[in-house]
Parts: sequence; structure tokens; C-alpha cells
Amino acid sequence: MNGVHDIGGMDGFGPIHREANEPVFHEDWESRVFTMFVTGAGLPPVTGYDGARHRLERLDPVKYLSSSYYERFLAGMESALIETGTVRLDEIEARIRQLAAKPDLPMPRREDPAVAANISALFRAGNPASRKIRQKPRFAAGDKVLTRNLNPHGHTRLPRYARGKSGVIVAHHGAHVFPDSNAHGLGENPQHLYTVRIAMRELWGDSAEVNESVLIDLWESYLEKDKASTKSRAQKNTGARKKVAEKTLPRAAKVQARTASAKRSLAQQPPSPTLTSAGVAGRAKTGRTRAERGSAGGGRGSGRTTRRNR
Amino acid sequence: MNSVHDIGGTDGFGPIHRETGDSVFHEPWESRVFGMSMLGAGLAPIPLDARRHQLERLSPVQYISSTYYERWLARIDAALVEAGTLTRDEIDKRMQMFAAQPDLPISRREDPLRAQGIGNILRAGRSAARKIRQQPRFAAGDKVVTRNLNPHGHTRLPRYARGRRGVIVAHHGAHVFPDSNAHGLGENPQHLYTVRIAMRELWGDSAEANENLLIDLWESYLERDKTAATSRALKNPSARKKVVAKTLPPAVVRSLARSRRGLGKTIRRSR
Repeated sequence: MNGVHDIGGMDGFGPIHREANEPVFHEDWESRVFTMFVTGAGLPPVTGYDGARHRLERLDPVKYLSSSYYERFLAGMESALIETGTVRLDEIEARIRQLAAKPDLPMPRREDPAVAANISALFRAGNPASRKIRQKPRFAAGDKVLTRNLNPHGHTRLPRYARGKSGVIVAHHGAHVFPDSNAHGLGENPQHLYTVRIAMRELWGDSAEVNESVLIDLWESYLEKDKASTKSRAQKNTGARKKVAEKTLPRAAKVQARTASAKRSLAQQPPSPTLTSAGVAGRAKTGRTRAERGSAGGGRGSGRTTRRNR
Repeated sequence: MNSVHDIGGTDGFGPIHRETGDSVFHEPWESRVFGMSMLGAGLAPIPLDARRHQLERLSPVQYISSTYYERWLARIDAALVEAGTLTRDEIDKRMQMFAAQPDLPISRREDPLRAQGIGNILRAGRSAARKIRQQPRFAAGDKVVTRNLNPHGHTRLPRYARGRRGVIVAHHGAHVFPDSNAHGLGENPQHLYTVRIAMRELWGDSAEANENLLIDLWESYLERDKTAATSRALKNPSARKKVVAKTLPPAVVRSLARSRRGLGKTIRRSR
């Protein structure tokens, strides 16, 4: 949704204050809110962070903008508890008044070591959103793409400022859970995820810096091929590839591209019978995997150059 | 500036409540704030565009949590503090004093001549139209692209309408340019146009197919849509055929080939 949370490119919020040695929690209540959040706060489990993030987005705009980070966590839980009918707003307010009037009132406390152990195990292990899918990636490093002009009423990871812009695929990260459906309980629908480079001038017009760009991670369905550019077509055609590289990359990057392609041609030579060490076999295998994944074997060289060219 | 006031296309504000009745002011204080604003509130006189920019510069939370005239009052407060006429502390103290003693007499200054002058201006209106020598760059029917401008100052080109294709629907002559006038950089009048932009161009495929936005935009917000060569081609009959062949579906081109006179009309319809 195009809510006030989508703050990229917005003026008027004043300077950003950087805290030296910022603590994880500024107040005790923040750590308790964090724990309530991760243990579910008596709510039916939402689908991962995506659903919880969408709750935050749906807070009243004034509440959203006037709250601190953990105040939003708390407000998100409150609105969810009200929405599910678990508690009413007046019940929450009555309890707040009661505790304010008698600060020494004992807090209800429930100990559940098993849940606590689970949660902390989950934190240590992480909960990756990467998934394996059969579908081949539609794009490879170096491909020119256009971000779509999507304006969903639900959750999305494509910010307003990055819609309808042309950019270049910098990296492919495999498939990841698609937040736009997962946030709404519509399934994980994993999609290929890419880092896309978009020039600042493309985003903000001629008043932006010339040599700066944004690197943004975008899901495949946010993107379409940039039909106006011929680069992606040319990449499938080795002969035309060199031409395009010479046209679009700075001279220093071109030199690196040549070096990279020279290395690649060495690596792609059939391994001689005497060289059967694990290192060489591993390298050959990597080369093959990349060739299968990318639309062109050359994606590797140009991808690396693009990264330096940032 | 890209601030929270630029609310076009933003979700999450809930339903719009339409009020019945026609009261100009909901509370007496609103009419007083209106009067203060019109009289300048002890501030150096500034144009409407500059007053609007002062509203935009309110803190985002204050801006979206305030009613219409609360914003006007906050603007006056902020401007008085910025001009050094009052300090925030003095305003707060005066408010506390009135809150503690609601019957305290309010200071009052009568200036019938000034009041009449303001009344006349409000009745007559104050046009922003100006005469300029420069010819308009665009005419009705021209295809244009709005520029991707992100100024830190005042602008009348909202975020959602930047970098979009549209068609000039009307030319309104030249008008004071708010983007410079708001900052005391002169009126610099420019030609003003109504531009039609398709909803799908603005909001993508999920928008209604047959709806359009009509938006008044100044000339420097616009550039010619180079991908739509039709307007140029219409002026040059020899280039016309080429362009038509490139931009229209083959069936249309074939039917047009039969009658050269039909070209202009069809292109206009196919917009």
C-alpha cells in the first residue's frame, strides 16, 4: 500500500540523528515489547515478518509518524488484538489507567521455558526466506529491466520512488518468499530475487547526482524486460556483446571485462587429464551451474564489472 | 518539496467524510485565524504561493494531524517564530495564560479601512494570469511528458504526476509561476495548460481503463513526448506516412493508405 511508511524520497523530516553506541533497547519496555512480538502476543500466528510488517503499515498515519520503532511494534500488536476480537480498545485503555494509578500493581507473568528456548533457537539459526524453485530466472546480471508501476492496496517491497524506472540487474539471489502474497496469507509463492541498479538521475531527475545509483533488491514479478534497450538481446549474441559493453561501460570497467572474459575462457577449457584436483573440478562445476542459470555464459564477466561500476 | 502534504495516491487515511451544510467556519476561532492570515498577522506580506510553502514545511506529524485552519494557525506561529517576531516560548506562555484564565480580555485592534481593503480583495479576487511575449510551446492535442522534478522548494507538480505521458487539453495563457514566486524569486509567468493523463499511465494496469486525470501544469513542467512523433509529423505531410506506419497497427495503416486526407483525423482518434 502507498502508506506514509513508504518514506523514500520524502522531505521535511529534519536531520537524521545518529546515535553513538546505540543500545539494542533504549528502555526496558522495548525489550518486553520485542519479546511479546516474537512470541506472538496471544495472536494467531501471522505469516512471517511480511504479515507483521503489513500490520505496521496499516497503523493510522499520524500514529505511524509520531511513534518510535518499538512504539510501532506495540501499536501493531494492539490493533491486531482488537481486529481479531481478542481484546477491545477500551479494555486496553482501562488496563493502562489501572497500571498508571497503581504502579506497584503486580504484573501477570507466565513462564514457558520451552517457547522461550524455541524462540532463541530460531534467532540463533535465523529463518531464511530463500527457497528452491524449478522455474528458471527470467533475468541475468547485465540485463536491462523496467520496474513495473504497481500500486497494490496490500503489502509490497517495491517502493513508490522505484516504480516505472529503468535499471540493470546486478545480481541474482535465487528464489525467495514473495512478501506481497505471504503478508496476506496467500502463500509463499517464492520468486527469483535480484539486486537492481537504478541511476539516481533516473529516480530523481536531472537535479540528482550524476554518478550515484541505488542498489535495490526486487522480486521477479516487479520487473519486465526493458524493451527500449537492446542490451539484453545483444547479450545472447556473443558478437554483439562486446559492442554493447564498449558503449555502455566506462573505460576502466571495459578493461576489467576483458580480463574477466579471458579468465573465463581459460576456466572453460576442458580440464586436462592430469588436473583432476577437487579445486578444478569445483570450478568447472560452478561454471556450468552459472551457464545453466544465466541467459548467457558471459553474464558472469559483465556482472562482476557492473558491480565495480557502481 | 516531496512532503506529506503531497498526498495524491497515498493509502491509509480512511474514508472521506462529506459534510452536509454550508458553514464556512466550524468554530468562531477559525474565522479569526482566517482574518489573521488575510491581514498578515504582523508578518511581512508574502504571496499565496509562499504561504502554501509555509504550510508544506510544517512538521509532518503536525501537518497530517491538524485540521485545515489548525494548519493556517500553525503556519502563522511558525512564520512569526522564523521572522523573530515571537519566540515559541512566548506563544506557549500566552496560551497557558489564556487556558488558566479563560475570561482574560483578548487584545483587540480596530482598523476599518484595512478590513474594507481586504474585503474588496476577497470579493474581486486576485488573478494570477499575466500577459507574456513568449509564444506557448504547446497546443491542444500535443503529446507531452511531465518532467521528473524533485525540487526542495514549492511546486505544483505532484509526485504521482511526474515522468508521465499526457495530452494537452487546453491552454490558459500565462500565469505566475508558483515554484519561483513562493521563494521571492519573482513571478516569472509561464504558459499554463490542462494536461490529460490516463489513470493507467499514473497507476499501472490495476487502474480503470477509461479514466483520466485532468491536471493544470506550467510549461516548464513539460517536455515534448519524443516517442510520439505524431504531432510533428502532422505538420509535415511527407514524414506523416512513415510515422503512421511505425506507430499505428498495420490494419489502420492499410486503411489510411487509401485516403491521405483521413490521416490526421485517425491519429487524433487513436490517441
